[in-house]
Amino acid sequence: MPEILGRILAVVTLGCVLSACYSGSSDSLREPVALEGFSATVQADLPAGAQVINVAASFYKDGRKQPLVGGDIIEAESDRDAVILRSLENLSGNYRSQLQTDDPAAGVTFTIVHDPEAARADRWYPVDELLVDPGPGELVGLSTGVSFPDPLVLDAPIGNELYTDRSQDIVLTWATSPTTEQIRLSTVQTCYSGDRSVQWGTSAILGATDTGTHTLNLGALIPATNFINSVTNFIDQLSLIIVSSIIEAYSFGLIRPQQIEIETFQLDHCTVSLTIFREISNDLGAGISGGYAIGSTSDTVTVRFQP
Amino acid sequence: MMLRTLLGASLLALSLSTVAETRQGVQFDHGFFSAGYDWIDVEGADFDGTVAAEIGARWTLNDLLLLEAGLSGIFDSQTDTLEDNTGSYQLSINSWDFLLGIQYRHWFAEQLAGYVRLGALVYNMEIELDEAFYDLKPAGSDSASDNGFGFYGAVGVTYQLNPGWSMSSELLFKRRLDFLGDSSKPFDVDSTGFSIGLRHSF
Repeated sequence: MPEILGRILAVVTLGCVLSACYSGSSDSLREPVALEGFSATVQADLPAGAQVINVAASFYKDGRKQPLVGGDIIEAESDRDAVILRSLENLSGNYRSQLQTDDPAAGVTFTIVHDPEAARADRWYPVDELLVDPGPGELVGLSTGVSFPDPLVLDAPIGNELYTDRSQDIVLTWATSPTTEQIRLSTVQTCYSGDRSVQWGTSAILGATDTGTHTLNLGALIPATNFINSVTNFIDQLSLIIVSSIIEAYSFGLIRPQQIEIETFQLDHCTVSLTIFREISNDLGAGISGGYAIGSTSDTVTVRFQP
Repeated sequence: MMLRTLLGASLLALSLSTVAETRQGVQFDHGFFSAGYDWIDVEGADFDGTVAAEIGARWTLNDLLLLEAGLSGIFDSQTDTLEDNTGSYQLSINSWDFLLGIQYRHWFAEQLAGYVRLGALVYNMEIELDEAFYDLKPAGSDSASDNGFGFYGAVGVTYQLNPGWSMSSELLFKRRLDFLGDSSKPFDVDSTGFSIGLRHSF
């Protein structure tokens, strides 16, 4: 990344090496994308203590993710705000944004509209005078809503808590809620070596039962040996996209596949951002036959590992 | 529209010439032509430079000052093709500028003079947009044009080759104000050009 000179930056997730150490349950809320017709994968997350909703969405036709071009946009609307979701990368089909809310109970509505001027609002020239409008695409008109479960607030660990050994456990605790349909943990690890850094993420379902606690081993998040394998397609990783938005991780999904040999990386220290999501599913809108619409509340804590 | 501007500018220059010559002490001095290269500057955009040319005439007001009228332009200055979520796009600008102003001239030697030019300009500018949508929707073009005002300033030197001809070299800055002024995002179009020219006294 040009703005981070001297850094090696990678966005990767742990492959089979780590999944053997740290495994999650199957996802009970995320239905697969339909092979025929229109599908949507949509998530809106409300972080603890915030009045900002993080939203991410992708839309599909016949099982293939659809980039929106020529003036087709995804609009997200809350009780007090409306925003256009922007793509992480042109043609990636992964869109995200943030919007304000005063009343989270009102939820968020995602709609695909054709608004050629709004789609080009970031351009420097006057799009009201200069515009090529190719007309709406097939997805225009699709809409789905998302509501939120009870807020989730982490009681432990405390922020910046220091860990010094990979054998140590991190114990996360929070108050339970009957509105929970599923608990998810997403993490972003950033390790530093001098002026270099490497970053990767994980996302796993903890289960449908809200136990209010989860323990994970630090060694499962930060391996001592082997490769960290990259992932090229975050097709089901909207939670990670949202996490990257929350903690301003650099650019999930933008980095080319590469492998980082962790043992060659002279590790100074790492930061580990842990986000627990309380998730509920929502009905998909008319005309959408596959995928999911997840509403979640979450809380994030960042701890340090300094061996 | 550009032809109309060119015709209007020519008629105005002819009128100025006629009026100037009929006034005591104001006489036609020389005609000039210059060619060079313009760097185009628009806030928020990166246009290519373009070849530039200017043609005009000057009338003496007194020993130091000359009245001048000229015609110049921007010829097909383009941006790079940029991409965003919506598609890819490229813009190009064409403009005719009619210049009217004063030249202050100072002779350093018998054949060598330096000068400063200041004045106002009227522009007729057109901007074209070519836009494509990653082959997912049909590509197309659009354009818009506008007239407006601006100003210019220049510094240069001239060298007398013989009684009829002289050479000049100058740096010319032009600002065309408030292009597409009725739109949501009016913008100024600046150009800074270096040129070499010839002058002929009749």
